[in-house]
Amino acid sequence: MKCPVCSYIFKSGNVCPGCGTDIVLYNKTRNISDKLYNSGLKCAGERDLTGAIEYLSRSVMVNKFNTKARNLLGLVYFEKGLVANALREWVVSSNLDKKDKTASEYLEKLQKNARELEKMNDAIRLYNLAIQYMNQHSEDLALIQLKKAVSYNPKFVDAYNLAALCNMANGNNTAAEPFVKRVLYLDKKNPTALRYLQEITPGSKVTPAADLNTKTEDTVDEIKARRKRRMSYKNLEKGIIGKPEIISFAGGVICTAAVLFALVFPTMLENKSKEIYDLKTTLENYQSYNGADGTVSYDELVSENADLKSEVDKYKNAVALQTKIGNINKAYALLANGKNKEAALLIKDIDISDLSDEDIAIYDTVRESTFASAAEDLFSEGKMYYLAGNYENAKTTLNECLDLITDESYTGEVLYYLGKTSEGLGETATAISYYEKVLSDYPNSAQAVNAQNSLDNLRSGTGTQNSSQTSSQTSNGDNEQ
Amino acid sequence: MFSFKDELKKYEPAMLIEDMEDSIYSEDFRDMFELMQYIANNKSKPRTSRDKE
Repeated sequence: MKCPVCSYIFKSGNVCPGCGTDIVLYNKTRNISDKLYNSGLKCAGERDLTGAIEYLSRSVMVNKFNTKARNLLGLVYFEKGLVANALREWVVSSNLDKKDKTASEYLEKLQKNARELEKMNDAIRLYNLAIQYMNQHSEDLALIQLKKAVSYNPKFVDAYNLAALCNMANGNNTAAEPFVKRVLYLDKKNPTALRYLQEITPGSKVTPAADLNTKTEDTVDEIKARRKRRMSYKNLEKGIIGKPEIISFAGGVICTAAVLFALVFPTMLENKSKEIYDLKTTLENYQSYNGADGTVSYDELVSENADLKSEVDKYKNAVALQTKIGNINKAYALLANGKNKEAALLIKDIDISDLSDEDIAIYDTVRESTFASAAEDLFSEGKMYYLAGNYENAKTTLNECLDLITDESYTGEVLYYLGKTSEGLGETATAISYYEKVLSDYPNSAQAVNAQNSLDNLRSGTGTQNSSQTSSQTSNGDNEQ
Repeated sequence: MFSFKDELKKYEPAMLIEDMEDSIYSEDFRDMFELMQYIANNKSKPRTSRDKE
């Protein structure tokens, strides 16, 4: 025996030989504590958590060093969802008896599952909030909090009880019943739940605990019988066909695929959405960046870019204008040297809208002096090319002539030879359009008759055969006027 | 039929983990044996003049 005061160890007697303390009282209290612990243990074994808490609390009150009782008390608190109370008992227990490792093990296990612990604590927080809501007559809000709390900790007895009360306060006894039954499943003799059950189903004489026990036993028997029946049926099926395994396998495959689809696909989508979000954020950051560290911001860059572009355009226009003026001056020099055709070709495409009056005057001088003669030269040249069978050059030269021509008296002729050239190049449709233009716009042209003949030949499908003939006739001057 | 108000009064906020430490420090851990010893010790001591007052 160990003296509780001086820790002296002695074999017998009611008085400590070391300090003289009467230990009868100590022995008595220790026995009472142990008896209470036994009762608590019995209650805990029968899943009467409330009863167990009652006995075990008394046990540790009588003998605070009864660490077994304290550890069990913590365990029962934990089973009831009161995790902080459980922790408190285990912390105290591990401090009072350093040799006993049970409490330390419990604490270690909880520390390893910190996330679960946090969830349980959140459940308590929600439960406390629900009480506040209930006091403010907001039963609906309270019920939401309680449902969340029991989803975090499905063994939270008090939360179930409060949820039942909440529903009963709303007059919804049907909704309250599952909560009450859940409490009685977790804590079979919970007095609050028993009271609620009587309220919900008035006149029920059978105690729910007994009811639940009977039900459980029946269920176990039933399950066993059902399992036997199923096994015999299975064996029978297996012998004859053996299909159920295949069906189960296929079912398993489908379920796995469904689970994969449900789990993997959303994750992939989430990843993509995250990427898009990141990119958007980066872009927004760039756009909203105000160049605080001395560097240039996005908006400033955009505006600077626009300014530079307009400046480049300005320079381009200036260069184009200078080129035009240069060409006009060159053409003027060519005119002075008697090279009318070259001078005319140099200025024929110049747009004079942005030129100064002085430049326009020079342009007009060159134009008036060169275009007519150049057109005549080009016409002769083009006709020569045609007659020589050099259709490509003929086409280019006659088109240039058409651009410069000022005297409409021979425009019909130019068009006619363009038609012939196109015919020579095999461009029948273009040839037809030229002949038609000669006939419609220049019916009095010297080549109007030839244009008509050529058109007729092309339409009758003999144009290609007569082309060389026409060419030779023209070269001989038979039809040319 | 019970009163919901009275029933609600029976529900008290549960202890949170963060409140556990305070709860341990504030709790009186004297057990029955210690209390009895305390009473017995006080009884055996002679009463002082201050006690008489």
